[in-house]
Amino acid sequence: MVLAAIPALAEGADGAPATKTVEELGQLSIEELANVEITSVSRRPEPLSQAPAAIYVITGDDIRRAGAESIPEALRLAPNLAVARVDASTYAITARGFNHSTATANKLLVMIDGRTVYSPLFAGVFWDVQNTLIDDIDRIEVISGPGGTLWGANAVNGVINIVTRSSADTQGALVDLREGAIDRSAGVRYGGTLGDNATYRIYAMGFERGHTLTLDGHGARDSWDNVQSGFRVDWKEAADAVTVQGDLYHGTVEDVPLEVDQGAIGGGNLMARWSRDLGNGSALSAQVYYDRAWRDLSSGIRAVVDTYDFDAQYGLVLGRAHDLVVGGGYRATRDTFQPGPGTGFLDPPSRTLQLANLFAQDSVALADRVRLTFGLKLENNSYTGLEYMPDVRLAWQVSDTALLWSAVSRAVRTPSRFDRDLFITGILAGGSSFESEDVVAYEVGYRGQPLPSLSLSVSAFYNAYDNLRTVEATSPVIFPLVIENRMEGNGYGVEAWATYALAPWWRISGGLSTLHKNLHLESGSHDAFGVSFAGNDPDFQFQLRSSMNFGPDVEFDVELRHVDDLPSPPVLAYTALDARLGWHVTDQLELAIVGSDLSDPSHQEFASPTLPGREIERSLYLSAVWKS
Amino acid sequence: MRTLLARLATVLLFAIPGAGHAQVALEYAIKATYLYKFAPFVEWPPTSFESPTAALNICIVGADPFGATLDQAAAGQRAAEHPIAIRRLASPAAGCQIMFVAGPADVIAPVLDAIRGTPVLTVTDAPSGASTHGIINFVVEANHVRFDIDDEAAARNGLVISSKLLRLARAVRQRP
Repeated sequence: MVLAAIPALAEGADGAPATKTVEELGQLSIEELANVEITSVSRRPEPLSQAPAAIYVITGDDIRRAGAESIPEALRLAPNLAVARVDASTYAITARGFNHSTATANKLLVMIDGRTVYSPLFAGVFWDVQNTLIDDIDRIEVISGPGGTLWGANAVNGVINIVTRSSADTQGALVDLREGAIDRSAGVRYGGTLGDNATYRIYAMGFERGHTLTLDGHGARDSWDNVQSGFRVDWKEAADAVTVQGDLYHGTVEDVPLEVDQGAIGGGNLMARWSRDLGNGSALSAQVYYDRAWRDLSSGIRAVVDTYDFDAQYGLVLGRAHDLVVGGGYRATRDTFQPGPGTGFLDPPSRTLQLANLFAQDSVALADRVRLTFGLKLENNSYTGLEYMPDVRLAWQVSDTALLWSAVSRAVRTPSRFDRDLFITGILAGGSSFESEDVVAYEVGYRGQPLPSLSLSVSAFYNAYDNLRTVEATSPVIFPLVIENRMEGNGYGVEAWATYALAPWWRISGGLSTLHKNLHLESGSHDAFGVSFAGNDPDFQFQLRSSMNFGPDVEFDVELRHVDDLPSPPVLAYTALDARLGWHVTDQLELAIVGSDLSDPSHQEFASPTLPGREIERSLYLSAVWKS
Repeated sequence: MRTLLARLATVLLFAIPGAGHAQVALEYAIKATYLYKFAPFVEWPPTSFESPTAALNICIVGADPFGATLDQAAAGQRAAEHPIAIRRLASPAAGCQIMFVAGPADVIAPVLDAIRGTPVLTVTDAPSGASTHGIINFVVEANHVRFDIDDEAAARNGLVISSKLLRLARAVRQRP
C-alpha cells in the first residue's frame, strides 16, 4: 500500500471522434447502423475514419457478444490495452506499458461520459466502482497515445472514454439476469418520455463477484458485492440539448491483503451537460459534475474524495480550411485520508487540489487530402504550477481506402497526494520536490481497407520518458526514503488490429501489441526499488476472435487471447479461451451461455510486490435479457 | 538527441501529396450502407427480377452524394442470391429495384411521380418537414442516421416491407 500509489493525471477531456471504415459499417447489422454516432463530441460532421491517432472503438454490440459482465472485462476487447485481473475486485489496466496493480497504471486517463474517474488521492482508477448496466454502454473509445483526443487531453499513454447511450435509445423496460458458479448479477431499467422533447431512464443493478484462488489453490478472501442505481434525462429542443445523469453505489469488499473483516465502498455522482448547435458545424458545450467516492477499509483506513468540475468548449468551423476548438475548465478535488494503525499517513490529512486548464486546437486542410491538427493545452495544478502539453498530428488520405497519419506530442503526469504528501514514520518522508513525469511521443500509423473484406489498422510509437518516479534513499543512512523523479528512458512498440469477413455470417478479428521498455536511473540516483517497479508489462500480447451468426437468431463468439510473461514479479505467459453462445428466443428475450478462461482450470494474470498473487478460475454463467 | 528527433519529425510530417477527392462524411457512408442493407427486408413482385440470380440494382438519380463510398460499400454484397449493382442515372429508368433520388424537393417530386406504382423502393434524404419523400427517407437525429418509412407508398408501389424493418424506423406511415 505504501509505495503502490501511483498518481494519475488530473485532467478530464472530451471524448474522441468515433471512427469507422466502410468495411466496418458493412459488418454492422441494420440496428447497429442506427447506433453509430456521426459526429464527435464537438458535434462536427466527422470525416470517415480520418482521426490521426490509434483509436479502437469497442461497440456495445461487441461487449454483448463477448459476454463481458463489467467494464474491465469489456476493455479486454481492445488490442491496444493490457488488461490483467489481479483479484476479484482489482484490475491492472494500461496502454503502452507501466502497468501496476494497486491502482490502474497512472499513465492512463479514464472517463465515463466525460467525467474523470481516477482518484487523485490514491492515484489511479478503482475499477470496482466504475460500473454501469452493460446494456447502457454505447461504446468505449480506447485511444493509445498521449493527447488521446484531438483536444489536448494530457493522458500520458492513453485515454479510455466510456460513453453511455442516450435515454432516447434505452426506452421501455429491460431485465438482465446473469447466474454463474462464481459471479451473479441482476439489473432492471425503465425508460420513458417526459413531454415532447425529453426522454429519461432509471436503473438499478446489483452483483456479487466470487473469490479468486490463492496461488496454492485455496479460496482467497476477496469476494465482493455492489448495488448501484441511477438515472439519465435527455432533453432536446431545436439546437439545444441538455443531459442530466447521476448514479449512487454501495458495495462491500473483503479486505486484501489483511484478510480480516470486511470493508465498504460507496459513492455517487451527478452531472449536467449542455450543448448548442450553432449551425455550419459550430457548437458550444459546457458540463459540470460532482463526484464523491469513499472507501472504508477494515485496516482502519478511510478515504473520501469529492470532485467538483466545470468544463466548457467552443468549436468553430471556418470554411473548409479550419476546424477550431477552444475550451477550458476548472476542477477542485478535496480529499480526506484517515490512516489505519501501522499504515502511512498523509500530511496534511485533508487537502483541496485545484486544476485549471485552457486549450486550443486547430485542424487545417493543407490540401484536399491532407489535414494538419495542432493544439496546446495549458494546465495549472496545485503542486507544480503551469504545465504545457502540445500536440501535432498529420493525416493523409492516400486513397479512398487508406489513411496514413503521424503525430508528435508531449504529455505530463502531475503529482498526486501519495507522491507528495505520504509519510511513514522512520521509513518514508513524502516527496516535497516531486515534479511531474513527462513523455514526448512520436507515432505513425496506417488505417485502411487493403482488400474489400479486410480492414486493418497499424500504429507504431516511440515514447521518450523523463522524470519518472523513484523512491530515493537519502544517503548515507537509507531511511527515510524520499519520492523524487530520477528515472528516465523510452518505450517503443507496435499495435495492430484487423477484421476480415470470411462470409456474411462469419467475421474474424485479431489484434496484437508489442512493447519494449528501456528505463534507467539517472546518475546519482539511489532508488530503493529499481527500474522494474515502474510497471510490470509483457513484451507482447495478441487476441483472435471469431463471430458467427447462424441464421437470424443464434450467435456464437469465441475469443483466444495470449499474454506473454510478466517480468517482475514474474508471471507465466497464459492463453485464455472465452466463448459465448447466444440465442434470440423471441424479439424480446435473449438467452446466452458464456464461458471464460475455459482452457485452464485457473491462471494468474498479474503480480505486484505489494499484493499476494491470485489465480483466476475458469467460469461459466447463464444470462437472460428481456426487453419490452 | 531528443531535439534532433523532434526536428526530424517536424520535417517528416510535412510531406504534402497532390490533389484528390473531397472528404467523405461518415453520415453518407452510413446511408450508403443502409441502401443495400434494406434489400433483405423488402419483397419485390416476382417479375421485378429477370432471374433469381439477376443483379439487384441500386440506382442513384440526380447529383450523387455518395461517390466511391457507395461502390466500396456495396462491393461483393448480395441480397439473397442477387448481387448488388450500382447505377447512376440522370433521370429515372426501368430496371431499378432501389432508387435513391437526390436533390431539392422540386427535383425529387417529378422523379417520384414518374415511377409511382412501379415496384421500386424509393429512398430520399429530404428534410423531414418537406412533403416529397421516398418510401424510405433518411433523417439525421441526435447524432444518428435514422429513417422514416411510408408504408402506404410502398403498398402503392407493390412492395411488402418486413415488420422488422418497420419496427426499426423512427416513424412509419401505415398502409391502409
